[in-house]
Amino acid sequence: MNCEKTKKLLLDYLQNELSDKEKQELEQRLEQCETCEALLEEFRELFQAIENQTDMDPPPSLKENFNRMLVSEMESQVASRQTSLSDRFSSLLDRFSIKPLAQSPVAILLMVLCFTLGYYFNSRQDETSLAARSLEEIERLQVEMKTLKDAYLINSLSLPRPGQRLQAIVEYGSGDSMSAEAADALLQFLYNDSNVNVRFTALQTLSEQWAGQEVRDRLLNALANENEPLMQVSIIRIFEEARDTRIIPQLESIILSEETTDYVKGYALNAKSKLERRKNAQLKRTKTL
Amino acid sequence: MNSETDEELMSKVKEGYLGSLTVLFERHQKPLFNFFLRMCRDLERSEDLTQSVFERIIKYRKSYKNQHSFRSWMYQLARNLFYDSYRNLKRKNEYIADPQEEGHLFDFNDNQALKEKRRIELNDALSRLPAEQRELILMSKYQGLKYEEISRATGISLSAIKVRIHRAMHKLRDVYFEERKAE
Repeated sequence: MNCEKTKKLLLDYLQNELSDKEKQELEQRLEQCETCEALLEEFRELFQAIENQTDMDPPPSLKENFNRMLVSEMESQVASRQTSLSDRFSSLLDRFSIKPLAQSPVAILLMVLCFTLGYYFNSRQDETSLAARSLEEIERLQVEMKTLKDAYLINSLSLPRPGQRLQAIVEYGSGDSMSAEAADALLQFLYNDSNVNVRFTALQTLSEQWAGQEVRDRLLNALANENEPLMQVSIIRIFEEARDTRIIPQLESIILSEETTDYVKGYALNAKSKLERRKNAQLKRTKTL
Repeated sequence: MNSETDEELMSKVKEGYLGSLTVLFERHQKPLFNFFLRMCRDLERSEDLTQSVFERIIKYRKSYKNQHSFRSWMYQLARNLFYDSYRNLKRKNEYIADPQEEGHLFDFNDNQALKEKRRIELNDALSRLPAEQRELILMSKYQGLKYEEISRATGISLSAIKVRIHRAMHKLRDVYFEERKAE
């Protein structure tokens, strides 16, 4: 091995990347040649100097600017979702021949707020998994977000235009869980709203978000006071799908009512016979037991 | 600590979960900032460039290929930004700020001060290298990127990377000890 070859292999040698044979040859060479030995020492020193380098902390403004940039990016993401939601709405509303919606600034504000809280929760997740107290903070934030959402829904009951109220309900329904307060607010829409589309959306959101006997308990009396065919059919369908036979007496009274349209009468008759068959089967099973 | 890999987090960002970027930021802001600092020796510019890297990560998130090393992609963006800003400065001389080290302030008999002197000397030596060699040394020896990652970040073939890094290290050794011998 000569000086030139040694020079080529020195770095691999220091990084332990040579084969045993090459390593042996190189070590022999280093013992014989002072120049090569000196070169190796210089590289050792250089590696050590690199190792001793410390990284400087970036100024805090870097993180502040990053956070600001990220939040504004999230806001524009929310805004674009908002637009696509509105588009879907407008097409829905066109079918019901209601005037297209105006954007609701309150809704945008709320969504941005929820998103920011969600982001905050997300960004904190890392550092916080270390400490239990942060878990509390996350829970607190989640509760805060939910309370905000509920408050927004309840407040939007008093919005003047049906489109705005409808939008509030659909936006609320895109969430994943519902509080009892919010369910009550939705029932308020269902019973009292002057617009049938709003009432229909409230009913749908209720049954989707809150499937189960609890929601049907509250809907039992709704059918008796209902005159809108769309709503009557929708309520009947909820009980029919759940095979909930408690609705049978209500069905009987709307079948007998003179005000009921023929279509709803037919629908109710059909549902009644299905549910009765089910009830009889249940009774038979109880007897045999 | 979050146990997700950079690549898993970046895939989430790509899908629109922008919050995951905060974890990537926490992991990489310091190495990235120091990479730029050693490339241009300018605090303010290094901060701007680091911020810009994360802006580009968001902007180009859809172009990130899942499973590919996040770091090589990030350094690819970082290099592009660095050379773009260099081109904007027009004059080659400006792309490294003049070394304004305060070596004379130290009493070099002190062991700590000697270390500090060596640190300054190494930074000086690095800054005298062409940017192409400097970035290779920074990525491989300072940031610990693998040859493959450097190859992807720079577009230099894998077979050529090792030779180029070796050449750069020899050059650095020349300059570093040249300065030392000149004392």
